[in-house]
Amino acid sequence: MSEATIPRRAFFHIAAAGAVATQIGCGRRPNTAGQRYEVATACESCPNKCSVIAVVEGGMIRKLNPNPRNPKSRGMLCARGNAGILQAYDPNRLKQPMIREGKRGEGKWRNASWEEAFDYAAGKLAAIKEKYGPQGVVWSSTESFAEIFFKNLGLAYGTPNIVRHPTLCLASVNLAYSMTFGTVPSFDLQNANYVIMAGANRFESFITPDTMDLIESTMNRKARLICLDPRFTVTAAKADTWFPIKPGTDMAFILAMLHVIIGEGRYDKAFLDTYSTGFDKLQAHVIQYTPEWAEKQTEIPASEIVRIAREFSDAAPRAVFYAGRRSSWYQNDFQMRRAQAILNAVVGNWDKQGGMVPNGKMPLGELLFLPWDDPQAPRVDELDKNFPLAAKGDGAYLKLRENVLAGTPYPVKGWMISKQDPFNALPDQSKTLRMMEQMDFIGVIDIQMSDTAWYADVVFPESTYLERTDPIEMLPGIWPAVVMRQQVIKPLHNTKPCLDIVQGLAKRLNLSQYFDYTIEQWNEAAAKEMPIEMPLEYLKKHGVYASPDPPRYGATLQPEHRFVTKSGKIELFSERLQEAGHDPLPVYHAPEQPPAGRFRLVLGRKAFFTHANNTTNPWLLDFQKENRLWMHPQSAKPTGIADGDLVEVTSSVGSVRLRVKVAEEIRPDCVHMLHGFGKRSPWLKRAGEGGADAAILETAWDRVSGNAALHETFVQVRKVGVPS
Amino acid sequence: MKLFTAFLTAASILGAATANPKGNDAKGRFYYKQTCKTCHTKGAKGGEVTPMSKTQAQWKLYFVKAKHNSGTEALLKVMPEEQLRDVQTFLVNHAVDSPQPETCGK
Amino acid sequence: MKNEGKRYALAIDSRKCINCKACVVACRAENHVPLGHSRNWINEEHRGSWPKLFASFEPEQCHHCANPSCVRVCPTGASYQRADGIVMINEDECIGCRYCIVACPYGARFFREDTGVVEKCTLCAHRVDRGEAPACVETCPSKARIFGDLFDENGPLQQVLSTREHRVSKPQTGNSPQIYYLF
Repeated sequence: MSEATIPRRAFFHIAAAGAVATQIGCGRRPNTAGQRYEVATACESCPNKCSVIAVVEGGMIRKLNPNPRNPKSRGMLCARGNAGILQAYDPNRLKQPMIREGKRGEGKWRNASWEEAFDYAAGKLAAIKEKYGPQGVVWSSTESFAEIFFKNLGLAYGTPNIVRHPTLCLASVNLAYSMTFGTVPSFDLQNANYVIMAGANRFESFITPDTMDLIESTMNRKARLICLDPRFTVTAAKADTWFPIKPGTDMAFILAMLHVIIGEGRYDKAFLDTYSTGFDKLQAHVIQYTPEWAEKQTEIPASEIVRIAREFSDAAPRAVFYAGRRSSWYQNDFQMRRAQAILNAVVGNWDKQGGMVPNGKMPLGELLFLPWDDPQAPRVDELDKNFPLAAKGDGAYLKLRENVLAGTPYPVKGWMISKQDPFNALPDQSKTLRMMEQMDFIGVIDIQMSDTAWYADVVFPESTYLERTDPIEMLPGIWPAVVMRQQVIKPLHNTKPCLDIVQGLAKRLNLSQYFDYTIEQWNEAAAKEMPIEMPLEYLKKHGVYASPDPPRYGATLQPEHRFVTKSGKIELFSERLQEAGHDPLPVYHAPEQPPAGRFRLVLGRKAFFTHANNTTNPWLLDFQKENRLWMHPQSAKPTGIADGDLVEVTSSVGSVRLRVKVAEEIRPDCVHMLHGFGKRSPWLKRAGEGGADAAILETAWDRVSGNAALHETFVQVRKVGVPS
Repeated sequence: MKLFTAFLTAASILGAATANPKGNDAKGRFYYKQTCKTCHTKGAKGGEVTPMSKTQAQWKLYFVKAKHNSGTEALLKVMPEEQLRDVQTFLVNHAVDSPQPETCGK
Repeated sequence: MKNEGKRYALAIDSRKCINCKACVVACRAENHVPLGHSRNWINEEHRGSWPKLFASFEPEQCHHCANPSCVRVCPTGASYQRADGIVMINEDECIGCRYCIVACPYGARFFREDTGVVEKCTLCAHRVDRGEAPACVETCPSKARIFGDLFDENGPLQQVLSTREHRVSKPQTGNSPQIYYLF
């Protein structure tokens, strides 16, 4: 097979492509004489899957334009989406399989053929299975179209230890809304008249359709936006009211709103009588949470809490307390989200225009095959014991790492990783490093030499999203759509799409029967149930198929409708939570406060680099070349710290150095740094300077969902240098 | 409720293996899609049936009774016992009152 | 002449700008603008002190003035204005003297060392001529820019200008700039 050696002609082709590739992004108009054509596909600069139209000239991607056919992303493409071209033409991307030669992390690699890389990895995986059982390998990945192939390989291999990204993200939201409504709804920002956003920074951290809808609503329809954030963000700047709430006290604010709304009879009684259970218990429960009490917790005046509660209920049902879209911050994150969900339920915004809407779906077929046997061993994170209510297939990442490090309940010696950089995604890098060091084998599938890949044994270079076709997928929503990511250009280097990599490994692990199909067959089977003629041809042409009907509201507002909960109703009071030993109604516990001389580290995102994976993109890095530690002048001055000074930021688990930005835009009891900077991998030398938050974040998780709690770290700041 | 418990006891005395919930969810989903869905879709002769058509208790009871086609034929005529066990596990796990929190992706 | 009877211009609703830079990257990709330079940019203003803070953002690029000083000072005629109002630079005729950079009140032009010529926003004339919107307009997530033909009374530009108060930047220059900032 051609896997073993690259034919000479192909090699010249690759070299030539590389030469042309270096022209992209240098500002010179490349010589792209040749056929011009357009390919409708889906972006993968972030997880949002906006539809784009790639313009190709002379075999090179010239431009990515937004595809207005997608009812979600419509005519938008953010900065990252536009800069996605450079992902394919990045001179420092992974270009061929590599096998580690030196010590782990030493950086001695040898180039390998695919055949060699597959043989080597499969040999290691088989050896671990032999010695420790299939549970001896952890299989971790982040959500993407092709994740299913990678995950299925882990399941077929027989490991129970599939660990996905949600517990590093918003598993607490998903669980809280699922426990309350039986589903996670969308928020109809396009039609809402009143939006409360706590912590989520939708105008700055992540540009999605919600961003577009919210700006249109607030600026053109005069919808009110209330922002709660310890930082003055772009969202705060655009809000009607911004409260620099004391961190960790959001739940007190929400409970006091419930106190006012229920106490003043401002709730939707008819709706609650018909569709919910436990209102009487809720009513009694929130009596204790007065606005005056909440003022002491949140530092938001009681009169303002009363005002917001009244305005919110007056605007209902076109009023939402927005749930997304940010990672989880405190050990009570699930209960805080439950309080939000209950507040939304109480004003009766469920399934109403401008309210909270259960997601519409579209039919999609699937390629059927008889799956594997169930794993014999229990999960290493002991999910059933520790987080019995959590989504079974996702695992709990931080608990998993704790148990792997402790070797309980059994040893784990292998780690397969796809589209994820645990080294930067998990708090406390020293623990992640120890977890990697104790592995007999680490295999990484990625498009670049991430910090995690740098510590791996085998690196499988994946084709970028512009070079491959992925499984088509239905995106649920108020206006659902089926989207397709298809190959725009042939792979520039010796890379493969996820399915091919999985197949290569499966063949050597004798698991081919589960992967005996092509991506085309997979997509044909999926498209089969779409309600149009020639669905795959349609998708190939347009990249997206949206329902021709505009959104409808109120399908679930039938008294006989059964919510997917234990009682069949919206559960304000949750028996399932009670049975699992958790508060059945959200109970407030004041968060610990930083002792004198320390600050709470609060994180945040800029939409140029929402995750850790765009900080090498020169077009994006141009906007921010380093991350700085935000410090309020009141906090910086007494310690003699001035703008631009180099400081050492220390927590109980580590320290990082970065420069300071003295800023009015942050509470004096907090400091802030952006995520995604301070990379170690020499291959990411173009990445931004500064410090990695993961090096100093401490391990903490939400008690119910197991979601990493990222704002529970207190730090000291010490000046170590002045601006050069 | 008492009657329901009696049913379950009776079933286990009769040794109905189909009441054993220890099946394979993923395989159950496959058999359900491959076999059940051929008739139980919208417009087909069996009418649409999804896991969400019943509660967990109702599905368990259904497999205790183990009768198909409006109670006229034994479920075992539709598929063999071990497949039924998998299908039961799938249907119970995804019933309308089952705890199945949503997640991001599949 | 092509596009006679048209007058292209932009209206910008700065309130909707969230400083996301999609327009800057889209322009960089579309027009191969080298790093270190930009044909469009976002002016930021931050005021106040904790906790009374304000921030505002204002996208800017070549104003495609009705009376462009850059065209007046160009010694070779490289800088010229199309009939439809778009101010262009003919790279073959540009000698890199940079008078136009000095003459522009908006700082919209820059000199490229590698090519030896001056560059600036062309309103994506090549796209406009194909019937497409400029890249910055098309990509904008918050749709802060409205592109259109001032002579088209029923067009999107006239509709917004006839219903919303607006201003131009530095009207005193006499350049008659054609970016209309909405209030």
